[in-house]
Amino acid sequence: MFLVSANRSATTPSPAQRAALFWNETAAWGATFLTPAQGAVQARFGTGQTNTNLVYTRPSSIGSAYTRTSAMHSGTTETLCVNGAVVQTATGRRTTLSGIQNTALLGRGLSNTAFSGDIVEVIVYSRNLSDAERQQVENYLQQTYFPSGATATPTRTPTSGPTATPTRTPTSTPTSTPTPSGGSAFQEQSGQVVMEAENFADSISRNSQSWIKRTDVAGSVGTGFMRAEPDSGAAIDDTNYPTTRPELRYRVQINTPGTYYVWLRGYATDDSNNSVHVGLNGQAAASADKISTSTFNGWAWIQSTRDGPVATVNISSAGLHTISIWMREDGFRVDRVLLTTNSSLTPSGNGPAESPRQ
Amino acid sequence: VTDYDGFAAIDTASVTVQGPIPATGLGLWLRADTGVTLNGTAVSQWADQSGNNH
Repeated sequence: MFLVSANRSATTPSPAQRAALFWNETAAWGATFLTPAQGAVQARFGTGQTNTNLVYTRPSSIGSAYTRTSAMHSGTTETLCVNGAVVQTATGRRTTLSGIQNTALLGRGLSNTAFSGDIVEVIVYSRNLSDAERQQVENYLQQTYFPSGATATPTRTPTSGPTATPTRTPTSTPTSTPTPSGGSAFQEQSGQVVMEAENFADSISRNSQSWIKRTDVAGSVGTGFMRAEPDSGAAIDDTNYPTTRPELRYRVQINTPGTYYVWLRGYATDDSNNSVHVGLNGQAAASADKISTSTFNGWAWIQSTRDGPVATVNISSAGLHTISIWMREDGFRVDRVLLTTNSSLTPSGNGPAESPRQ
Repeated sequence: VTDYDGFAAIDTASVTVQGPIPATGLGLWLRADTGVTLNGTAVSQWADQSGNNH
């Protein structure tokens, strides 16, 4: 199990308490956890064997910096790593994990004690990793979050974090304005980028409406499509929609700046659910709002706007950008997004293959 | 990942997916930049990217 996290509390908890990742036990010494506190990184794999906590005391200078921590159980050996370096190895452990609940808690430990910090990435394997594989994961996490040093502040904005106060909704505050970042951006190639709607980077609910992944209409591409719900006939907002209507965000790496024609593979059943807004970098785009279709009860590639011209966005610089889709009429379904600099391209059928992500 | 009183419910499983980390045996993958659902500015869901759809 691998974590990238920061802990805001200087208090070092008892090992199983205030864990970032925690499986409770069904039998004694079955609890399994990873607790990256400021003063110590603590972990255990439940086997029924007693006194098997892995504990690494780390310098107080770590403070609330983000660090990578990982714990591995391989045969009779257990290993604890911090920022890719092995800090503790234990041998003579029972081989088989046992006495562990199937369901884990994220951001909670024993007795529902909350992890006091932010968690930005979690990776769990159900098998042993080779040294090379472990290094591959460590390299990925380092390059993603710490490109300039082991304990630097992640270059990505942390977007989640169970907090010290237990709530149904984690209450950390991601930036509301999209900040293009690295990671899984779709790559524009030869003036084209294609994205499955369900492969969004962020989905933002507003005014009790959300984009929901669905699979109940045949003919979509990928693993499903996104539908603005509930389909309650909410009033159209053509002015303040960037802050009032649910939004899907897609990060794209643009190498060819210019005017991009916007195509959506969408599905409507009637005039009450046949339009949507598209924008760039969190801002409304008058050239791509009110995209509408008059094809009903079938998937269709659409680019027309209610204003008349076909939808376009002007991406004036190379680099990372964010494409947003905002609900205009609830009930609209979107399956795919295609941006192209080719004005004569008219997608048909499923359209081109999805663009690679990096 | 299922939101449950502020917890995330996770079952372990194995799938094969493409990506920058080994796919075999990957049971859970939560990423900061993908699959985050916001309710306003608060995170309401964090979608598993392992392919297990937790």
